[in-house]
Amino acid sequence: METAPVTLPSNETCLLSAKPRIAFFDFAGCEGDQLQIANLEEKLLDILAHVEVVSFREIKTGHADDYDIAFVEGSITRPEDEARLKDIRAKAKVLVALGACAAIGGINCLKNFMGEAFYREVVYGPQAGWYRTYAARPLSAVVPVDAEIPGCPIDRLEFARVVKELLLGRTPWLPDYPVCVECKMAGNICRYDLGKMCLGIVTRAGCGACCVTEGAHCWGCRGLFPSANLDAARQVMDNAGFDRRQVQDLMRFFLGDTRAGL
Amino acid sequence: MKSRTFSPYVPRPATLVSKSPLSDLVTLYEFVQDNGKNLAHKPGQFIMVSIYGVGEAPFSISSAPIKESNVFEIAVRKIGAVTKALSELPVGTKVGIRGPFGTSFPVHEFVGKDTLLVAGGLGYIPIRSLLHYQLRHRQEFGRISVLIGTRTPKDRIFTDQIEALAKGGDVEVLETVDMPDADWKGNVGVITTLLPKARVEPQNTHVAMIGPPVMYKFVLRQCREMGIASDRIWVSLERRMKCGLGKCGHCQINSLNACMDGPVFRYTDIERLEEAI
Amino acid sequence: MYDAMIFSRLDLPRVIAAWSAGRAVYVPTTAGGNTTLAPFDPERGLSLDYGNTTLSPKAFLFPQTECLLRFATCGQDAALAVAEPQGTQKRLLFGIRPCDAAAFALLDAVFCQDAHSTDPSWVSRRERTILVGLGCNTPDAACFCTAMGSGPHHPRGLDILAADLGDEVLLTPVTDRGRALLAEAASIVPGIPARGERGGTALGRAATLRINAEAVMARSPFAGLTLEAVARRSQRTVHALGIWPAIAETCLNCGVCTFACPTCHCFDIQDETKGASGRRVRNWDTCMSWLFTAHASGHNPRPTKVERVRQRFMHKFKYMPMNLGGRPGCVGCGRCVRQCPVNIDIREVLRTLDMACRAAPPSGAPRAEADS
Repeated sequence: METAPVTLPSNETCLLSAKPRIAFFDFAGCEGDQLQIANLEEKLLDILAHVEVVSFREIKTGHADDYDIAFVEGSITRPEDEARLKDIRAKAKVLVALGACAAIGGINCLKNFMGEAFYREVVYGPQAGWYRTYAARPLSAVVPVDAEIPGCPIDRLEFARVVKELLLGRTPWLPDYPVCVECKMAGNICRYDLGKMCLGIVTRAGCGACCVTEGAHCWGCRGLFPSANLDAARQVMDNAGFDRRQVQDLMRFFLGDTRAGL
Repeated sequence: MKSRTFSPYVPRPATLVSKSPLSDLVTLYEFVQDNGKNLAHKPGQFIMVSIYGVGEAPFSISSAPIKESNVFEIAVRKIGAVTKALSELPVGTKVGIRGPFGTSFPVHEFVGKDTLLVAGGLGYIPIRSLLHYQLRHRQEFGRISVLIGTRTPKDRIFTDQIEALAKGGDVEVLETVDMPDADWKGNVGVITTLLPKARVEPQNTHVAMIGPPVMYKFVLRQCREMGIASDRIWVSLERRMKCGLGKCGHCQINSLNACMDGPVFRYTDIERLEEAI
Repeated sequence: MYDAMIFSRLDLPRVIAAWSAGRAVYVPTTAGGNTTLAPFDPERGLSLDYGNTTLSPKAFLFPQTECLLRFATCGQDAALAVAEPQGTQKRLLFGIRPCDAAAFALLDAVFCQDAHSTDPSWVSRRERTILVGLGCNTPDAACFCTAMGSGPHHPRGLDILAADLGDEVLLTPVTDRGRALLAEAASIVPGIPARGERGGTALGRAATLRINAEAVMARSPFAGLTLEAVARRSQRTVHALGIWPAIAETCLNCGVCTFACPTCHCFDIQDETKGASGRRVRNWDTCMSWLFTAHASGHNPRPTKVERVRQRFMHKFKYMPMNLGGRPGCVGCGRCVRQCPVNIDIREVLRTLDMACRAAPPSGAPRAEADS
């Protein structure tokens, strides 16, 4: 299935007139993406010169309900989260999914492959009935999302670039090609040539193939790129001698919510 | 800072001397080159307009080539980053211009013959360059018929000019809209509904057509049915462009480049190209 | 004027060091399974034991990212664009393979089509880059240069062709520039002109190496690949062949083939700004991307993968030969074969294409078919 690039609502893109007000929210996530933003250090100060942060629990106190851009981290894992997300959607002109959990569901979706009764009991034990929870899902399953910053965690320079593009009223661009390209740029030897499995063949680039470059393989945390060929990928893994269970485990790790989940 | 080497990628400065809305989304822009020279373009050609920092995009030239005036016109619908930035430019701002590029309508072949101009939607913008050229050299050409189709009455552009032309009586002007509003009294239907109404002598007529991709197939079939020879039909094909110099590969249509071998093509030269229509 | 010259293999690093005067010299360097053309380091010396560079050397003449011009975004100078001045650094690429040199010769036709649109950066880099190629004695299993009009010891596009004779290296000048370069080397390092009996022996050894290499390729299952049938059919026929969906099926649209390919030349142009100034850059682009042909309106003439995969192969094997007097748009370097993550083999494609072209009905098909 071919998908067009994400487009912003046409009327709300001219944000340059005043300093846009931005706010950060999180649902079921580790706040690691927001931490990456805090880790921008001086670059964050550059960004702050052009925006007004009205809510960002990780770095400041205070909250306001009047914002233009909402960055939302984490997956939706409880029914009541939907109402809160919809409220944010209604208040924000632009909603950006921050990180894998928000953008593609991420690791949180691993539980979806088990029965609800089962995972309730594993997590909550005898108190399984006390807590409300349901299958984890990305933000886009509940509200329309205008842009995403993928990755687990996000690449903080990518965050800076996306913010810049949003401030310029442009549709933020994400690479529409797989990690393979960045691996070749980095001079890496293909993991399959080393007998390892790797999801770089279907995963959206933009991370510089950092995991492979460091000696590991790609886990798919940035989600599938637009024309990812999952059938071909499964065939590659099959030809390389990996069995269905191994493939399934790797595909489900981050990509559980996508069609990749077997 | 002076440029020491000529590079075909570097634009020349031009000034926006006027802009006026043609419809909700379409604006007419008039430019003059800062070097005081006439653009010396031919009808059907395009220019690359740069808004530094935003980007560069190709636009068909809408005005006819006029020796006496250095002003040239483009008409642009706001749809992407460059067109949006263009719509926000104050008059007097400078932009970058490259070109004119591409092939043009072979007006010398139309001399003494009738022409049928078929303009779908924004296709009227480049057709206008040809039409106004012909009007400025009216005696050279036979009958001129202009067929204009738009989606709704609100999408019509250059309405004053077109209405004046229709009233003038010399040029046959037929208009249609796909979806009328309460006030529309004219023809309703796609542009192919106009062709049977046009006064056309197929043996003596050249056709120039520009419109959305979906339009070509149907109008071409109609022309064939009317008995207009395929080598007398001219189309202008739009493609995504970047360099305008036949190098970047974006505008390839099979073995041809839209920026150098087009955008104006004789139909017989592209009728066997599957990527063309 | 010197003919071909013979140098001792041990003296080769000195020859290259001699050439380094006033030039940046790049030699094949292998690290961790990855071969690149890296700056010559006299300490590390030179190894002639390599296949080919992982990525093509096209980046030396057509950089991955290149600044075209600079501009100011506000103030008096806004809208005055200044061409980025061309570099002046002289370079020498030692050890590039004949296939890659042939690719440069092909790209000359793309970047220098006519006086008005000649690419100044390509011309500048081409003029100040000397190419000393090394013939292949042991072609790789994925190589097929002979089918594409080149060969393991083909001199096209090179200034000097070197042959590794083991204990000696034979340097044969191809251009005047190559001859001058050879003279430079010979004035510093002892070399023997390849004349007389001594020369004959060396020339004979080089010829043997070439013949052996060509024989290896002739034994490949893909020997005898030809573009003859493709050339004879119309592009419409080739375009409409039923083979494309099967070929495209496993393609990931990753674009690695276009990235590694020495003849792929498509690029994108983008503006980048920082504060009050900016620059316009061109970056390599790939026709494998959906965005490549997408209009701002959302319309896309190549909406699915099949169209894009077909485009790549037809551009190389049909359109470029049509526009460049019969020369294929591929030099047979084999990189895409080696690096495609799903093992799409361009030689298989070519063979399938060849058979389908032979089998397709004659182009004088009934008018009705042509009209549809």
